[in-house]
This record gives sequence, C-alpha cells and structure tokens, in this order.
Amino acid sequence: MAGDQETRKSESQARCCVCHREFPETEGDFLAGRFFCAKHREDALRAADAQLSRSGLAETALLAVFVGAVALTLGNGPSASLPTSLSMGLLLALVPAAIWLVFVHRQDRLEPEPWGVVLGVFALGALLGHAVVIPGSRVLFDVGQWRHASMLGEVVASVGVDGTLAILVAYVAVRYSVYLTDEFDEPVDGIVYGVAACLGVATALNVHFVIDTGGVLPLAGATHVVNTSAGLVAAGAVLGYGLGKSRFDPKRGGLWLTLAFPLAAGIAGGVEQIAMAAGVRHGSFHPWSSLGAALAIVAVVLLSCHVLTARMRHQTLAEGKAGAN
Amino acid sequence: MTTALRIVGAPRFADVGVWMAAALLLGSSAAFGRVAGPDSHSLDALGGDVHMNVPAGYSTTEDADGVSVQRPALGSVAPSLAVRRIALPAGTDPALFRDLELTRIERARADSGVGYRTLEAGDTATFGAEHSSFSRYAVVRDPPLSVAGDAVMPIVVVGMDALVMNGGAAYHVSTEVDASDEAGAAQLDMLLQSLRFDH
Repeated sequence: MAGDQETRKSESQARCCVCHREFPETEGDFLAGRFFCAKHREDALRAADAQLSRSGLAETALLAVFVGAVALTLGNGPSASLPTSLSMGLLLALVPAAIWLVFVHRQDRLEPEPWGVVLGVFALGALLGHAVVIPGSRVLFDVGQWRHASMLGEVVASVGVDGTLAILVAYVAVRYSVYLTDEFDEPVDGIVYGVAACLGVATALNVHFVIDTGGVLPLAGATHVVNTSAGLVAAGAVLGYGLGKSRFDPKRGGLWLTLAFPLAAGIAGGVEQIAMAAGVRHGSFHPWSSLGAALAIVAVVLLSCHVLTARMRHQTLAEGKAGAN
Repeated sequence: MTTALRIVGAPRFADVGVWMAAALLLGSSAAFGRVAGPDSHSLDALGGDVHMNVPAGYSTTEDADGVSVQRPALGSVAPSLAVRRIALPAGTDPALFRDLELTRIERARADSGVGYRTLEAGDTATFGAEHSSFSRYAVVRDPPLSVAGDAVMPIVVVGMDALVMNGGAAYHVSTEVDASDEAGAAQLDMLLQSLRFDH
C-alpha cells in the first residue's frame, strides 16, 4: 500500500530538463517530449521566436568597442606596438572569445547547454587548432612560401588551407565528442558546439599571432584578432547548422553537412581576405575599414543563422523531435 | 550541478562527404602551392665563371665583380653567400698573394664583430676549382638595425671564408648565418655544395 502511494507520488513528479529540479506535473508542461517547469516553459516558448537581441548584433558592436579600448590603452602613435608576451596574447584572444561564448550560450534557450560541455568543446578546438592548424599551415603546406605570390595565392591559402584546416578540426572536435552524447539533443546544439569549437581554434590562432608578430600597431593587431574570431564564429555557425541537420535529419542530413563544410571553410578564409582588401588603400592599412567590413559580413551570416535556428526551435517544439537519435 | 554525458551514438568514421570535401580542398590547394610557389633555380654569374643552385625564397644581387645570394630577413642575420672576384696583381707570387689575402679577409671578418674565433681551417680542392683555402668562423654581433647601446641580445654569427684560386683568377667565397638558424644553415650547405667554378 505504501509502495503504491510512493509510485503514484513519483509518477506525478517530473524533472525539469533545464534546472533538473523535480516539480508536480501540474506545475509544468511537456514540450517536445521534455518536461519544463513553469518558469522554463515560458523561457522555452519565448526562445522559439527570432529576437534581434540574440542575433549577435550586440556582440558585434561590443567587439568594435573592444578594439577601440585596446587602441586607447596601448596607444596608437607611430611608436606604439603590441606587446608580444603570452599573457597579452591570451588576454587579447580570450576577450573576444568570451564575448562570443556568451552569445553562443544564449542561442539555446530551449534547453541551455551546460557550460562545462561548451567550454570543453572550446578547449578541444583550441588544442586541435594549436596542434594541427598552425603546424599544418606553416610546415605541411608551407603557405608562407607561396601565398603572397599572387592575389589568387592569398585566396587559395586562406580558404583552401587555413580555412579548411580550421573548419576540419572544429568538425572533428564536435563530431567525435559531444555529437555522440545525449547532450546533443536538438538541431540548434550543432550551432552552439560548432561555434564553440571554432572559437577555440580562433583563440589558438590569435595567441600565436600576438606572440609571433612583433611591432604591430595595437589597433591593427586588435582588429586582426577580432576579425579572426568573428570570421570563425560565422563559419562555426554554418558548420554547426550542417552538424545539427546531419544528426536530426536522417534523409538529407549528410548532404546538408557536406554542403555546409566547404561553405564554412569559404567563410572562414573569405572574411579574412575581404577584411584585408577593405582595409588596404593606397598601400596603407586602415584598421577601422577592415573591422567594419569583417563585422558587416559576420552580422549578415549570424542574422541568417539566427533566423534558421528560430525555425529549428519552432520545428523542435512543433514536431517533438528533440531527443531523437 | 554536474551533468553526466551518455554516449548514445556509436563512433563511426562516417560523414564521407566532409572528409572528401576536405581532401579535395586541401589537395587542390597543395597542388596550387606547388605550381605557384617559387622554385630553386640555377644561376650562372660573373660571366659564366660561377654556377650554383639558388634555393626557393633567396634573392640574388650581381655586379661586375661579385654575386651575392641571400634569404631576405628583417631584424636578424640573413643566411647569405657571396662570391667576389679579386684582381691578381701582376707579377705577384701566387703563394704570397694567397697568404696576404687570407690575412686581410680574416682581419676584416674579425672587425665585423667581437669575439672572433676560427673554428676550422684548411686547404682543399673544392667547388670544382684548382685550390681553395677556407676557414670556418664564429663572431658575435648586434642584430641588424640596432644601434650601439640598444638593449638587444647579441647574435652569434657563423660562416665560412674561402679563397678560391681557379684558372688564374682568385675569388673570395663567404657565407654567414645566425648560429641558431638551423634551417638557414642547411640551405647554405646545399648552396655551397652546388657552387662550381668554371675553368
């Protein structure tokens, strides 16, 4: 008798998939096959709408402020130069990464991804970026020997080598880790983890840039750091869209991922090239023009991805596909 | 609160399309780099008296009496090789000329820095020439573009000076490279091995 009462009690309780606390089923609701408490149910329903405040535009503006702050702090006169210490490299690389990581985390309000897993994928991307992308580009493909020979050489090196290697290691960091776990339980998770992995790669590239580049103007150096991270965030969003499709669309998921991969590589390398071309006029470099061009491209890509992820969330709620394998 | 991750999908080397796309992009880029990149080339200098294979990325400067080959570098000692023709004074004893010239070369090299050391010296027939006297040296210098009193680490420069006698003409062959630049030293070795003097 007592056992039956206990069973009924446990049946009437349900665990919220966001806060993991138990509530009576009457105090929450099931959405897409998962139980949400009243508070997180409201959050989940609001999250399904495309809101500009979550599109990355605020973060994009914040990065421009960061570049200005670096120029003001470290000076911008002819004698000013970016310190080449590891601590400065980490500081300059981690500030944009932190801004973008918060943006990434805000994307998945339906069921926010655990910070530990997001940071783990970020760290894996950084390690692979350090171990594979930099030596691969410099030693294996030796791009320094031929990238500056022509404009075509610059594009091929940026997209075909640097961009492809960066996206490949980001793909590996997601595909063979969190992608295989139950935490990857809705299509939008692909974007969250794809961007986190790409940010890790961007951080490794930026730390190397600051340490290896002596005598660069603080404004120009900060612009390069922000452009690299922004370009890889946009590329990571496209790759992540393909990964999400691949996991939850058994019919055409493979095709989506195959198309997303070269597109992401093109964005990763293309943003760098377009930003550079926009910044160089009459033989001199204008960092603000370069930054403006890079952030404008990234804003367009992120807005596109934002609309797509809103559609994904609506689809998830409507069809109850979350949690499907 | 900790989150336990459950593996719900078996690891598989799938997603063939991604790996094929990556292989295609990287392979075609590597092929492009091989075609577009600079290649080593042979150089005939000083009216065809001197031949060598110049590695990729090295620049060449030639005038009436000499040729120099170096890898462009900023703020460090560029790996370089120079060959300079030396006029033989008429009526001078060749052995005496060689001794005087070797002394002059050594003194000039010692004056180019501090702590000059001769690491190895000898006479041999190399570079396809009749005779050459060489000395391998080390000397300490300030980095290029620095001025006296700058707080900079000095550089140990290593290299070789050789006086080559060939076909009634004399040549001074010299190399220099930062002692810590192993890649540059290896390239200079290959350059020296390819150096030939015509009779």
